[in-house]
Amino acid sequence: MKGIVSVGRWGKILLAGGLVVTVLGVSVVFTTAQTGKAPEAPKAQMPGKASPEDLAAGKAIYFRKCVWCHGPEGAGDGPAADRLWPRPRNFTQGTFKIRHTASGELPLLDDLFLTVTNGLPGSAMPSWEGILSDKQRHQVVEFVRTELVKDRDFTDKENETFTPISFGKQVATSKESIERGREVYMNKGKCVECHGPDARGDGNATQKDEWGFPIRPADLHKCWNFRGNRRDPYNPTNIFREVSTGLNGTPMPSFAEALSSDQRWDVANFVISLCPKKNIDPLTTKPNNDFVIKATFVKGELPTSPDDAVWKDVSAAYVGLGSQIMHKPRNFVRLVDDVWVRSLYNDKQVMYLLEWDDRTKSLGTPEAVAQTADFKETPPAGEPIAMRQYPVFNDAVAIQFPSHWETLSAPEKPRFVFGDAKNSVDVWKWEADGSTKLYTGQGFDKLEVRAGDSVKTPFVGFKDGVWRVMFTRTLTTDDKEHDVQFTTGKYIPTSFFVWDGNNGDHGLKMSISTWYYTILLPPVPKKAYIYPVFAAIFVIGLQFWMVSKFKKGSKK
Amino acid sequence: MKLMKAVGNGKRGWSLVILGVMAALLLLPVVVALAPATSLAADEAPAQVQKGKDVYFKTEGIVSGPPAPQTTAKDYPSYDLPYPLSESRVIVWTIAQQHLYFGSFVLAVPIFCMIIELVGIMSKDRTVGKRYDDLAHDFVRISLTAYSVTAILGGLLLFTFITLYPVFFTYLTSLFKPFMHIYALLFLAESGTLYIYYYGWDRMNDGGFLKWIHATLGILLNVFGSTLMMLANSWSSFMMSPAGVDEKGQYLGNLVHLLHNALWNPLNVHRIIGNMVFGGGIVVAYAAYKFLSAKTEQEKAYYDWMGYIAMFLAVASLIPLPFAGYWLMREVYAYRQQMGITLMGGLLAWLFIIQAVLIGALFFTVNYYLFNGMGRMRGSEPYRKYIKYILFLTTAAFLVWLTPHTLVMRAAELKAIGGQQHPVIGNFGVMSAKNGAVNTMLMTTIISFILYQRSNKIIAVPWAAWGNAAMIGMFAVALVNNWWLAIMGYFIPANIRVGLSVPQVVGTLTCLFVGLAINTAMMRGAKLTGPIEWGKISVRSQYGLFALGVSFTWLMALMGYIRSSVRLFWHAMEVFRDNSPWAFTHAIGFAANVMSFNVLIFWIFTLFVFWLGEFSSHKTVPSMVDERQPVGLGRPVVAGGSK
Amino acid sequence: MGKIWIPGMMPIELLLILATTFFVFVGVGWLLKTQNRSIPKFGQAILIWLTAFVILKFVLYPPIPSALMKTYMGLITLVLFLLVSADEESWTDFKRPILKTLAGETPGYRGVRTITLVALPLLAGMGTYNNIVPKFEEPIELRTVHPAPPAAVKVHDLKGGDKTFTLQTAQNPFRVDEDGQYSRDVQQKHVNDNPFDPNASKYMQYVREGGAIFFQNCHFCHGDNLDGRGMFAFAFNPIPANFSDPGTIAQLQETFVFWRVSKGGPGLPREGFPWASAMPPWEQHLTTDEMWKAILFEYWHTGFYPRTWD
Repeated sequence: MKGIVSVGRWGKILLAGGLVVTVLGVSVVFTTAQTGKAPEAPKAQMPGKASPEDLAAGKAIYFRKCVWCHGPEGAGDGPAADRLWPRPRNFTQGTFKIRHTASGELPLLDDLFLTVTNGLPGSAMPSWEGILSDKQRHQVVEFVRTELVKDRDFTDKENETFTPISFGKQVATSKESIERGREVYMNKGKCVECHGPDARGDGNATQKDEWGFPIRPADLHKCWNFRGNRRDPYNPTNIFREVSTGLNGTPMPSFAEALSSDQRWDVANFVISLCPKKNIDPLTTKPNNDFVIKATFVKGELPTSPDDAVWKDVSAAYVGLGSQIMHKPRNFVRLVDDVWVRSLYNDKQVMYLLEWDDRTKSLGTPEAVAQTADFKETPPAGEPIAMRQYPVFNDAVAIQFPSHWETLSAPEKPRFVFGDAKNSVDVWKWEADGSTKLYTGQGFDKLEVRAGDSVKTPFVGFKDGVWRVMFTRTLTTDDKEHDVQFTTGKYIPTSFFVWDGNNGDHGLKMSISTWYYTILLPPVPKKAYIYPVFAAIFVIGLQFWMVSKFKKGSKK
Repeated sequence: MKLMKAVGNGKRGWSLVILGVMAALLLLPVVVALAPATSLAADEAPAQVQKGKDVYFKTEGIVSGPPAPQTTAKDYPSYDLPYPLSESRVIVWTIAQQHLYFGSFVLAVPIFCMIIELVGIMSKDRTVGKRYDDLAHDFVRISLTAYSVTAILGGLLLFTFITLYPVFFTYLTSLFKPFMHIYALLFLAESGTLYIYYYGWDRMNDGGFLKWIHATLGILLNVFGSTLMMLANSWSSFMMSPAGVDEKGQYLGNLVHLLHNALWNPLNVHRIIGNMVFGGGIVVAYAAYKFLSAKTEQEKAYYDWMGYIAMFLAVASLIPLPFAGYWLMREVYAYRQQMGITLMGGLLAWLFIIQAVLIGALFFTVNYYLFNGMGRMRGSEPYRKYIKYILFLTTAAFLVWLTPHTLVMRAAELKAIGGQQHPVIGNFGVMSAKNGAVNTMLMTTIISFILYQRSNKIIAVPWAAWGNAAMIGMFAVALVNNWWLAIMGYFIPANIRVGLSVPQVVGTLTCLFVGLAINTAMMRGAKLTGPIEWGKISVRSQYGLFALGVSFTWLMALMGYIRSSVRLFWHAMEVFRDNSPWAFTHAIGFAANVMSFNVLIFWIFTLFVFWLGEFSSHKTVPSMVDERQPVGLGRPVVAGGSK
Repeated sequence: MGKIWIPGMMPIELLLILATTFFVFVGVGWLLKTQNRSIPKFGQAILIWLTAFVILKFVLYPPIPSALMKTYMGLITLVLFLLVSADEESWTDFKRPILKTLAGETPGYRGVRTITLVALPLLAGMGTYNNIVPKFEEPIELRTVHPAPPAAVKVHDLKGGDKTFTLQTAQNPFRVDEDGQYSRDVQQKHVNDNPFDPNASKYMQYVREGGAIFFQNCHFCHGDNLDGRGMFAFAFNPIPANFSDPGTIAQLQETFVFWRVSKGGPGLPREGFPWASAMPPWEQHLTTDEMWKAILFEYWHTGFYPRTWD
């Protein structure tokens, strides 16, 4: 007898599968709250008084998690503040950058909540989602706005207004919109004045914020560093919001009056289009590092310019840079936080093309050289690092390899900054004064220049806030003692250092990367084409044998 | 009076004499051990007394031996062979491993023989008794060839030490020479006993007095064997936790201190139990081998049964093994904390992941064997539907169990996860989760066994419903308690957390003993739905049994390597430094390869031994038709298989 | 297939999802059985395998490393084999479609057979090619996170002189009660206190000092929430330790942490990759007291207790 509903076998399988998917789907819906991202400003409401319970709970959280940077009085002067750049927010005046409200207004409580939730990428402020519950984040916001914002009152109906921006009708991104956005950026919006002609934040590098601390216009090619990106860097909504509200306390004004909403959307689309598309690591809100630098083989001569067509087919590896905070002088502020690396090789030479953003082209001054003695000690705690004035040194970049990677048994390497006593490194360093020098490193303090001119820099250029430097060297050299030797198809540890002369970078005050690998991509081996054929033939044979055996067996 | 009469009988008289001599030999080590201590006291010359402090016992003693040599690379000869063999260490490692394999097999089998022979003697049913007796006899026969292989490998190991580690070996012998002599004597005694035990089997099988003498010989054999092993253990435990010497490695004249170093006893216990597990594993593999190569139904039936019994013995000995291991680990931590950390969290921690996988494989194999075993019983059908639940629980527990604390991953994967610990499954890597997981696996295995026991029976006791309810309740409480404590473990300080494993283990053991007791009681008077059709088990299950044996071998290689390499660059921990060119710890991949190679070699040897055993096989194997069971119920098990 | 990852999933949640799915399968099987139908074993096995794959690949978040994924799926494959071959009946059922395909009983089966016979060699060829053709992903490197510490550590004190600490016996000199006596319970007592309270207890004053030291020196890598996600963390490999994970300081003795802090990356044994760790030997920058205070703070802030041996 058949059942009530007659379904075929596949129907049953589908039914079972459907049930599983339903269960999974339901659990997903229940556990994820991040859905729907239509641009819509939160409702503006005059907040009421915070409840005493929330204040007490918020205070406990503040004094456990926040006080270390923002200080016991909320003046942005906690124990960590002096060594931070950007400096932690001073809450006292109620000046907040990331808002939905008009320029000069206090933020909505939702704005503060979102800031605590998502953190401020590119600064020390982390995302507190998953660490503090929704309720706890609300409580700490209540505490901050009630107790620590002293000069203004969120509940003062007479003096405070909350006018949320209007998102208008979003203009979808398109070639035309981006082109219109560029036009506004260059002319009507005057964005170019601060953010620079190529939008790398190099227009005016000497600005100050309301408290007198130096502040730099954002490098618009690094959307993952935008403070207000809400961990969603490729979403133009955040740019639209900031263009519309301006950033209180900074020279960034509101463009709500000057530009129509469509124009602001065009600018937002344009800004997003500048940002290279990378997978963003949700934990650090930075692009994932590309740990392997793949050098492509070129027949004939290597290019002499970074604009050569051959580079177009070579993908650039993203190399994140941290600060050298391990050895005196510890560098707490590094202004170059990444470098893009491409590599090529031919039968004689290997070539690297390094590109990094730097707002200023710096050449060392005699004054700076005279002050190098100061560069042995770590800046003391208690002196705001953000205020520190440095003499100007040379911009510089270096590539580092183990001198003898081929004799080290994996995964051993020299120490990643200038090697160690046991394993030395070969460092190629170029400086903005035009010199290219070779160094042998055996430790932080043991980086010694050595004679040799095997490494060349066939192209060096600075334009609109980008340095581009090409290094070449022959694959092998005669000085096997000091020079790294390149072999096809091997993982050769490689790391990078960048110095921003305008930031006083010099010697050990620099940006550093961890170990990466260079691999000179070998041609696909012939066996990769032969073996599969054998494997297939073997399987065919096996099949015939099985089928024939089976047939014999079933005949019995 | 019976005894007097027996003595009068010539054959019996001789057997008593033999027993007496054996017992006297047993006292020999005590005498020899005490002798040098007294003589040293007499020789004490007050003029040039140099005193030293015992590194472990902290007692003062008179320096009466040379200090540990300061070796250089020249003190370590090596053969001019291609790479891995050019390292003397690898040669010693391989030979020692093979010696230990065969040695532990040879030591374990007499323990089983002793038990099975006694079971046979005690059996009321003579057919069953005879069957057990034949089984025990079979076991000794397998071990006899292995015994000579052990001796040969022992000699080989000795020569290897003398030629490749001369300085180290001289030092060790200078300390342990009295024990080495005793060792040799005991070895003789062991050999003698073994031969009498084996060759006298049929002659002494009179079903009365002589049989008891024979059984006593079996016990004696085990006493000799265990003492032998304990002596040898003292050498390796001395290397890990020296005692009886001062910090320069000078002997202080106290033999007991030398022997009774910190890790000696934990190692003894761990090794005896481990040997039984391992020996069981080999016999299991033997039975599977014979089953697969059996030509008649009767042979199949017999070897199926043998495999079952051996599997049962191996698993029964496996249960206390973790506790012995726990004790050993505790003592290692107590002796030197960093040694414990090197083992569990440091350099060697990766190997524990392999261990986890192998242990999980054991659980799966046992369960799988039991499931398949139900196939040879009529009436097992209602129980088959539980298989999926058992497998699911075991799998979920195993997922937790094998998830390592520190994951193997690429730098990019590491970045994506945000740390060496994965925020979700990384939590499975810590002790709390592991305890929960392993106890769950133990409990599912117990459940499998209970179902297996019930498979061909219809419960007849009137309190069946109560019994079932009690059992379900007990298992439910134990499981929930186990999981609850596993979760709790994350929220409390480590020193309290360590204590949580006690209630977890107690729960599991209660399930094991009480559960099996209730179940056995419930089976009383049960109606059989059919006999166990020995020999009808699937071929797959026998491959499973073979895998069980191989897992044990692998585990032993692994754990032995871990125990041994925890000394890092010391011959004797902190007393005698290893200055050979290969004093570094091997890369994990290399070590794993050598271990696998050792396992392979051992199995080739073992299969050879099994094959040799064919030539001296019994003419007929005992019948597996149980007279107590009504034959008419099922098909006749063995065609024409009555005696 | 889109990703249906569940961020912030708890370990128990994963097990519950697996259990729910399992019971859904059992339920479906039972429902079908009441109508005298069943999914053939072969189909069941494939369905279970795929479901497990979907959960581990697309539901579990963050994604697990490929090596572990392979291990998990290997295990599930094995268990499925055990399941279908646990008794003779289901084993026969499982083999039936395979045997029928081999025999080519009906035109349908013959079609499947032809497809299989063509597809398998192609798959084998592709698999071989994939295995041989070089991939150039970065090599997998096994790093031991908590290597064995030395028995004792000699630490340079910036205040002058060297001090030797025996790891098994040394104690944090600032884990003290009001009388200045070492106390195990003092952290528990003050776990919710405010370190900036003017009337803070002695222990809480040390916590505040330790917090200042941590935030002036360590948080750049170890992060504001001590979770290893500081500003510079993204650039380093290995990434900084996450103290809020129950697998790090919660598993370690305070003296172990002190050893790691004082000797830093270069003080690691080879298996800890001393060449790659960005952790400086803090004895060069901080006094021993400052290091102990920072450690005190780390335990207080995370709410974990140092491991003890008893």
